[in-house]
Amino acid sequence: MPHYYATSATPIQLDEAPDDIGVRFEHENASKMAGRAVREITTRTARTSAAASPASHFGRFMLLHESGASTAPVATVVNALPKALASRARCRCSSSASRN
Amino acid sequence: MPVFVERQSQLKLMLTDQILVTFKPGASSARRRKLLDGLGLQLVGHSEFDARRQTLVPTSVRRSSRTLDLANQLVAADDVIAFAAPNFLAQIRKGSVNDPQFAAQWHLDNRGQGKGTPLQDARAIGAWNLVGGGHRSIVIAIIDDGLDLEHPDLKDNIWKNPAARARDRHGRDFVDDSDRYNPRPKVFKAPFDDTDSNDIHGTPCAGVAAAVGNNGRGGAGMAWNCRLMAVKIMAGEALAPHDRIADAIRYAASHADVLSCSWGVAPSPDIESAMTYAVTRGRGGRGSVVCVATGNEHASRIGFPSSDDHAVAVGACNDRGRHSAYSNRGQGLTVVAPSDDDDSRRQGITTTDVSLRGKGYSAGAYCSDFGGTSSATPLVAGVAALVLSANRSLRWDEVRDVLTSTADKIDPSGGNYRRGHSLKYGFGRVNAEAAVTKAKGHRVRRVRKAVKKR
Repeated sequence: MPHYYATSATPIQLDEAPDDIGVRFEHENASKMAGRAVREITTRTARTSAAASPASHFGRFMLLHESGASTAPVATVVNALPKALASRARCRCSSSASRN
Repeated sequence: MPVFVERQSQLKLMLTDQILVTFKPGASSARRRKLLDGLGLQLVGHSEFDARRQTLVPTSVRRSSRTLDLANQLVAADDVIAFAAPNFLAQIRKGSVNDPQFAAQWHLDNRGQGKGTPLQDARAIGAWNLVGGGHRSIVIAIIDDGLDLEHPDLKDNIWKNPAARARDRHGRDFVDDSDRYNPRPKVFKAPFDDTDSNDIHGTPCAGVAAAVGNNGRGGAGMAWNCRLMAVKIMAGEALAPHDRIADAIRYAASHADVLSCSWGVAPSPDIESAMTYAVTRGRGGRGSVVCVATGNEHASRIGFPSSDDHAVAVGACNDRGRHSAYSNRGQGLTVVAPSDDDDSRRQGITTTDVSLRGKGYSAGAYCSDFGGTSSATPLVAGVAALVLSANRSLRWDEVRDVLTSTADKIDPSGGNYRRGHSLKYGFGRVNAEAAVTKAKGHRVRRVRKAVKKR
């Protein structure tokens, strides 16, 4: 079961979020790229539904919310991102601590 | 990168390639190096405010999504490590919220307006008779999504950094590195009254604590002559890294006497460490008072960081002196303060709103329906500021003792108080007049060690 520790060494239990995936942009302008991706995804979603934005970011990291995202992370990312930004999407989840 | 949900708070945490760590003081550099080399980790930086808190990253990018594993392996080296955890990007939960006339501010002076019950308030008038609106030197940090520094009812109380050359004139933005000395609200997105996607939460909080009083404009804050410092940790729907939130607390404690935190996140050892920093290093070692909202989830457990041993954990009660249904209950609850309720017949709080046209909870510069433990928290922060105005020699835990020992035991039958503590009301509803009176006399009976016992 994934967990981390408080200062008292008490475990803080985590569950995997099945409908969320984290994306890390690797580029010299990664932060701007992540911001641009979130804006484009948000704009696209706003045109088609009134739901809250499925993407948010901090720096070069983006959180993407889509049903079943964690089971098909690469496909989710490639489908969500603007084409210009998704040319080299790779999954680094295979050794994820969440599996331990 | 994996995304998790912390089980108790149900808040999301996104893993990053960074680990936050503090080594034990006696750990030799050779032992540290051996440990880090063995795990393939390298140091890349440290907290701007606490150099002991260091940041690590894996030396190989292939291990960058394994930081949860690696952090836990560091924790196992307990002869060297005080704490280690991934630097998660955290979802922050703001409290849910929904005139300029003081007459509408029943939370300060309840005379039965709006079908509330007379005297079911925080007893502000009596406190003001003793210390006015508080001392100008007392600073309350509003750690939130930004503060409208130009608001006509706040601007005269905005803190100014006494260091003439300091770039952080009025506070800091810990979200936007390119604009870090501008802690104003910056993100607005229609609908403009939506708390989660707009920077509109910090300004009402600031008004509850210390909107300018006696100026013939708007309403008044509890500590209407004290000053407000803006510390921005949220921007619209953006995530917030644990290290930034922790550093925001450390930064605030290095300048402010009282910290007001109307939000919750999943637990973080770095934020715990920052809370300890605030009460040991703030106010020249007397400790800053850290008021934290317990949360609005109708839960039988209070949220983090209000559950931290060093917090003043603040819940909410309504204009009839009853528990606000949403306000989380629990052993760690310190006090409650007047706010709104799920029942729409109960009144909200009148306070400042973002003054930009069309932005905020209302069209104007004030709103009358603020609420949640988000509103109760800066009200208690204001009372703490008045207590310190009356007696600035008090340590942070003595201020907490004053607040708990003078609180009103409201709803004695429904509150089910045991040894003076109720799971619904903590030690009761904060009473500013009694607290200031006691602070002036400073005969504090130190019996409240159990305040935060969980």
